[in-house]
Amino acid sequence: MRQKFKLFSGNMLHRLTMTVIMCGCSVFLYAQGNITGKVTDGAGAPLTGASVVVKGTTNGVVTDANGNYSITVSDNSATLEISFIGYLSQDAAVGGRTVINISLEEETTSLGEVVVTALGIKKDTRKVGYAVSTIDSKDLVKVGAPNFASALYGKAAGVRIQAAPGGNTSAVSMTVRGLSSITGNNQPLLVVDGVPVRNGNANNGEDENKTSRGWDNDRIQGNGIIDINPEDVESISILKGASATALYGSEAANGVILVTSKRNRGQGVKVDFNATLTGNFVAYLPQVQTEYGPGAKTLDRGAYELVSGGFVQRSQDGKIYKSVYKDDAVNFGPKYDGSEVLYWDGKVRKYEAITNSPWEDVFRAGFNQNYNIAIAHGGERSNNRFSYIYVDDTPNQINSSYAKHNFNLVGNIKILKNLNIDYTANYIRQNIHNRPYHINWMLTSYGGIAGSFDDMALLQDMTVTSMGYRNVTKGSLTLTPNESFAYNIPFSAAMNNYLWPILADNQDEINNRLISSVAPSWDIVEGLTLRGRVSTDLTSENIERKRATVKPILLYPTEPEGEYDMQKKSYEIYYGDLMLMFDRNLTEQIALTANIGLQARNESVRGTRLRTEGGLSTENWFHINASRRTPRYWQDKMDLLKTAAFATLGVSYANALYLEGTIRREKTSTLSKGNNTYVYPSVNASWIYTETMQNILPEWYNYGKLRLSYGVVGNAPDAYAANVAYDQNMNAGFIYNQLPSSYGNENIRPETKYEYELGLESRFFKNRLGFEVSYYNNRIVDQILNTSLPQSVGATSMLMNVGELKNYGVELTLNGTPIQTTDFRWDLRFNYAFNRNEVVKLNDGTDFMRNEGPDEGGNGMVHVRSVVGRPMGDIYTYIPQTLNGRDVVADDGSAYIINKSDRVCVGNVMPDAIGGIGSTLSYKALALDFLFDFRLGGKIMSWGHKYSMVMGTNPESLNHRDEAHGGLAYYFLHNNVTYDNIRQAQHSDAQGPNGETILHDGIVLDGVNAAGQENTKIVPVSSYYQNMYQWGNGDMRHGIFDNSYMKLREVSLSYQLPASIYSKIGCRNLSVSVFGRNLFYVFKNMPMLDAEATDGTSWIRQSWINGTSATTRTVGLSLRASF
Amino acid sequence: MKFKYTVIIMLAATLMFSQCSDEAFNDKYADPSKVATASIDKMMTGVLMAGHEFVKNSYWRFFGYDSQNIGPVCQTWGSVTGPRIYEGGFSPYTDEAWIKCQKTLVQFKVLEKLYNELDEAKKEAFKPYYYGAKVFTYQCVLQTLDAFGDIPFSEVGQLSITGKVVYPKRDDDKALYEMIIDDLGVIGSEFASGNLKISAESDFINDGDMGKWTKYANSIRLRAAVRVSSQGDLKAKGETVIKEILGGTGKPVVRGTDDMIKLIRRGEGEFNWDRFDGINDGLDYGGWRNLRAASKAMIDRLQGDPRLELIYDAVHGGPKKGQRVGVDTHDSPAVTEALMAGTGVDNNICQYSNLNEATFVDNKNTEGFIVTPSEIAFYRAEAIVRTLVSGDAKAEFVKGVKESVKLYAKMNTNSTASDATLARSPKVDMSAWTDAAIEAFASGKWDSNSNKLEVIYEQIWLHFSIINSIQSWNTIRRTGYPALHYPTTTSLTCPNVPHRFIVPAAEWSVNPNIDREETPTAYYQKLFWAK
Repeated sequence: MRQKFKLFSGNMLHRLTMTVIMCGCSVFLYAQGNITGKVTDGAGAPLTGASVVVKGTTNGVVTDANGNYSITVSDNSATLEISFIGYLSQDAAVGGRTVINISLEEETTSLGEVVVTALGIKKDTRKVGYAVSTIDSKDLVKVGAPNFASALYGKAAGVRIQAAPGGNTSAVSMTVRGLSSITGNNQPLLVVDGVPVRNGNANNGEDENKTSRGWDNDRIQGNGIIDINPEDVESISILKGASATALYGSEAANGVILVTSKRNRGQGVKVDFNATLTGNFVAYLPQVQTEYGPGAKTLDRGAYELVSGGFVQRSQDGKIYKSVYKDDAVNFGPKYDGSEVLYWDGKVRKYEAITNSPWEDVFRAGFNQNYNIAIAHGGERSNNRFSYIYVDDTPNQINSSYAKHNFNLVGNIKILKNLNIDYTANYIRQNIHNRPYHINWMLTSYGGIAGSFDDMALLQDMTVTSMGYRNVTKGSLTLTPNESFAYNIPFSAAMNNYLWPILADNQDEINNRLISSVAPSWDIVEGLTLRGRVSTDLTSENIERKRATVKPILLYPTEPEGEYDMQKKSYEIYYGDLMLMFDRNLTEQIALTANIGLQARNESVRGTRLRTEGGLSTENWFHINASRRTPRYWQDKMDLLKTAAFATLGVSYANALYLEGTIRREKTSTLSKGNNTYVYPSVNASWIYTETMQNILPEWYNYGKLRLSYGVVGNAPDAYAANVAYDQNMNAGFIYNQLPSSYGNENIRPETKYEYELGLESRFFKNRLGFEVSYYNNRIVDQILNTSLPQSVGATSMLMNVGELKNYGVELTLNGTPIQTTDFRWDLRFNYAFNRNEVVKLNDGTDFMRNEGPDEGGNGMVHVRSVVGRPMGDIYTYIPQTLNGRDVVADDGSAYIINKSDRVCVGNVMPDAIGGIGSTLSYKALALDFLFDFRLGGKIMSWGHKYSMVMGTNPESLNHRDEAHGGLAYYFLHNNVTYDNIRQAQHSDAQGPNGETILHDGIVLDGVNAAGQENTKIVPVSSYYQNMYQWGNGDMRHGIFDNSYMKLREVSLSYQLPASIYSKIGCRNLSVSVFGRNLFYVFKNMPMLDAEATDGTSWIRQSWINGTSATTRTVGLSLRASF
Repeated sequence: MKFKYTVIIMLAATLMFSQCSDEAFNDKYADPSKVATASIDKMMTGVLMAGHEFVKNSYWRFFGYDSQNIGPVCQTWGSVTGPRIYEGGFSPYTDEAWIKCQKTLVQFKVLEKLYNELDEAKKEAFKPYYYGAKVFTYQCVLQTLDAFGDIPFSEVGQLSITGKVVYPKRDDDKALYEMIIDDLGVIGSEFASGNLKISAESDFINDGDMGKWTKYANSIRLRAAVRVSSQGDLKAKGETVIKEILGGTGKPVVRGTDDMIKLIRRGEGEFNWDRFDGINDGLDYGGWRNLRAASKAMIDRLQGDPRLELIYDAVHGGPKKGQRVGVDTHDSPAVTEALMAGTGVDNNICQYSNLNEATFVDNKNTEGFIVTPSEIAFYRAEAIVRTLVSGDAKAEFVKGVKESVKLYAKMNTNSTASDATLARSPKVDMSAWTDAAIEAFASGKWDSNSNKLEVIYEQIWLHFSIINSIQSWNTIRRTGYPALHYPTTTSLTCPNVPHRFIVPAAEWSVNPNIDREETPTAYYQKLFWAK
């Protein structure tokens, strides 16, 4: 050992001396020999900015716009090293030549030769016995996606992305190979440059930022994954199966996303600049019918309205006016006729449709600017890449803005020949002003569903009075009586709970995040390396919420409203690992790799929150001192410690057979003492049969691999979930203890996933055609279920390891280049995956578990269940009673009788299959790239559609409204509006026998009465909508849709400008592109809204749409330049 | 040189991993926001907190349980006479009654467990808190027994006591009544001894006043005794206890306004009726009118009564403008629905009176009454008429009415709703209703009917109508008074007025030891004390 140190020291000295001498030499021996040449890619196109360096020196140049270079070398024995990002580096011995032309091979043509696997270990793909999806940097940045996760749609088999609407600040959910947990976390572990970083769930209804107004958290939150900027990413590896992720133990059940940052390659200085401008336009919004305006449902009409066709009378300034609206926003009024009516602004206006999309007025066009400059420098001992990204966004929601600064430094320094230190530092600062607000008050609230006579622009103008208060209806106390609404506006809920908060309230967030790591590695002897790593992921959040004063204190001294709320939170992850790695050929045929290591992670959360109580004592003074009563406070504190020891052992034989085993022993603080240590083993093998059977297989069969793996991983419970202790709270000065309603469990274990996987990879025709297919089968036992208990047991729920799940599925990836000529190339990519899930077991004695369901009133008209023997996510609801196969109609004829004795399953929310189809067509410097992604099967609940039938705004609600739409004619006997008085008439009748008004909106429901006779009763169709489409009642199937779709997710057209244009300004590469995202659906089965209009990261929250923000369509322009 | 780096790396690694001792794991296991041990006094406050919505005009009570479930079956609230009138608008409000009671009971059982684990000295010190929690728990249990009959009691909360999941069965309500009456007797005597002390710090009901705790225990015991004393197996026991409490020297019970048992008001947290205000926010006057409408049965019996205006507003527009109109249960669903929806030029104005906005809806100064002097005075008048005890029945009756009028008047006068902020109902001018005038009015009531019990029962029903409607329903079921008209509906589950509510799905769907009750038979099982 001692001798070795000495040797190394001497070696170092020698090296240092040599460097000094060589630097000197490069001065003295100038112009010894000049070499020129051209660097091209495989297709012969010039590569601009490729680095050409005399190996072992700092002497280097970069190629110009035509790929040409010129370099001076000291002697003939020198070797040139030619490198370029995205291409394999090549060495060329000078050997007396003066012209050296080099063709670099693109890394993607040999895609996956090296993949990053668990713990950041880079491996030859050949050795990997499990599925890894790799996505290259250039596939992440083509269409200006705001974060790398939303750029992954349709790009990796079996990986489902769901980005919450709202743009830059909204969470993205990823699921890998279906779901592994019924109620626990299903988000994959996110690892950046070998370090686990914060990701997390959001928008699942349990966020601590829950605010008092509204039904749920009012603003759409983000999660950790969206902070990672795609411009800084070199590649993404997605580890899917248990064998691939086993080294991550109890956090690996949902797969692992490995992000590798861009590093500098080659020598010299390179500068890259990129500007991307995108416009975001709200899309897939509900359309409203434009034939009928506001007015009561027929059965709710009084005598006057019956005769007037739905108009009402109002008095203003002693005059009686014809007007519209009754007491709510229902649109079953008269047909638009252009007559003059009194509007709620007190003015008379023409009775005609104002809009067919009232939402459009509530949003604006969004504009996003993204600038990125990256400076890379390569030297002999150190390589660095520094990048700065600035994002400025004008969100679609009015009165909000977003800015982001991202500084990223990635590099390494070779301190000694065998001691290298890698480092990364990524600092992200975000200023978020007013995150997107949920629009549930406009989508699913009867007091907010707007129709075609609802002037949203006017309402927006009138919401805030000139004195800054919320507007009121005439007669209510106000300082600005002249601005009041002439009568109650029908969508007050939308105004009070959506328009007012977005116009008057403000929320400012400043987020700082620093992800950094230092990783020294020491090559002790050849084949033996010691590597350590220390890293941090520090997030600090500052949030201020300012709720404006609603009413003047002068008039409403006891209820001024308004609120100030401030929150500071830090989330810190400290991580360290130490690994001894051995990699050596034992014989010519047999090679051995082995690693042993230790790992520790400490996570902590510290947060405080202060909020005024009882309103602001001074109007719009946003400080905690403005509180009318004792302010409220919250504390957030969490600590978590996880350690692990692990070892891997791999053997290979003849470069054809590979076998690897791993084991991890883990200890965690989230589980109780004596119950907190678990072991996760895995094994995988691969056989490259093309190697073994070289002589048997045809020549065009370039590569074939068979792989097999098995692994065990876990899914740990959240911190403190297991702990049983008492709550202590204070209320108005009274301090009290209670046993919490959800009981922990000291004996809880992590959920454990056992998975085996079988795969086949092949490439043919010089890699122009390839496929990869995987079959996996897993069992997840010890599902932690917050099992419901009757309150009488002692708690309403308790954590139990009672469930068991099963998944199996197939993933298929196809790659092909059908056409490839010098100028033209056509690439095709296709992936497809299906996953079948089954609930094997739940709590003893129960055959289903009721998962959370959408708000449906009553005893839950509909809920989602996980039923034993079925995939999780069955939708259960009541459906109409039947008699001899026919639905039974109620006595009055206005509804089907809902059988409330038993719920039936009306579908399942899990998709049957997902996938993507992508293609690139390139001709010379022009490239067209597009990507479709699809989802097949799986239901979604969208109550907005259903409620808008009750409100009469839905275009489908025109059915049966009049003769043209299939309505039947009838009248009410003596104009007495009850079901009993309905009598059939002819459309041609001028009036009934006693002068009654003839109505044309009748419907006879298809079905039988309770006695089994054909139903013949005519009823107004609005009564039918009211009864069958309403909140908390009726036939819930009217709001449940198949959510299959295929979307044109990405399309881009890029053009590499000819070098002659920009070479003079020192630019090496200049390209422009236009692109679009989410442009249109090829098909979509759900009406009215975007198929992805959900924002939760949990599967259950993704099973219903309850009013997230508006979804968008994006077009953009991007310019890339290299210097 | 290299050695240095090696040492640095090794040191860093050692430092890092040395933080991972067993102790570090254990320290981080316990939830820092929770406390490992609970104290008996704070647990008592926890019990009161768990059940306090039973005794306050919470959202659940006012817009749910009382207005939608209890109001329609005892006609203290006006409801559309539709087919589901007796089923309640949404059954979860009865679920909540059941669950809130069980929740209170669970917290009490935890307290009892912790209490039983104490050594004798500590037991003595914490005894008053144990008793205080018990009195409050019993009161919630009684309200729940009166709604559902048998409920789980003895086996409740085993998870927190033994760590095991035990699904409790229902206990017989008669046995529970008997036990509660006996236990409250013991507690009342111990409280009266003057040796026990509850700190005002923990007590948001009696503010540490042991005299009031004594009256609380005795008054609730009296309420239970009266309930079972009219008929049924516990009739004799009930009568004996009434005599014990009200006869001879008797026991201290709530007699005056000052010793009324109610929640403390603090203008903040749960003791500020903010949620109530929240209901009103955004719903202009007239919203949710079906949950605020008057009952004709009430209005008929409030003629000439100062409480008429205190409880109800006049119809504010349309043909019945200025009148006080309640839902007539003789009217068909269509008629009641139409009148509820109303008519008029500007908007549809409900043709029924609504609850007085100043007294109830827009008032943060409503009270959380538990025992009022009126109730005790009426029980006393009843006991005298029934010759269980001696005394001046009329004087007691007059006192009951007077206290009731004053209670409603105070809520109206103290309302946080100023005339300016009220949409339509001004505060009531009570200047003409001097004590003498109220007494004269009450005397007239007493004198006008020879059936003195009927007069008393009608007043109990009226007194509790809005502030604690289940006591009104109890009175009807116990005595048959006031005799009201109940329409028969087309409901399949509950066509006629029920005698009790059925076990909520929240319990039977998850508790294998409790059967789902088949309707409508279950609705019509009379409670053991009912007429």
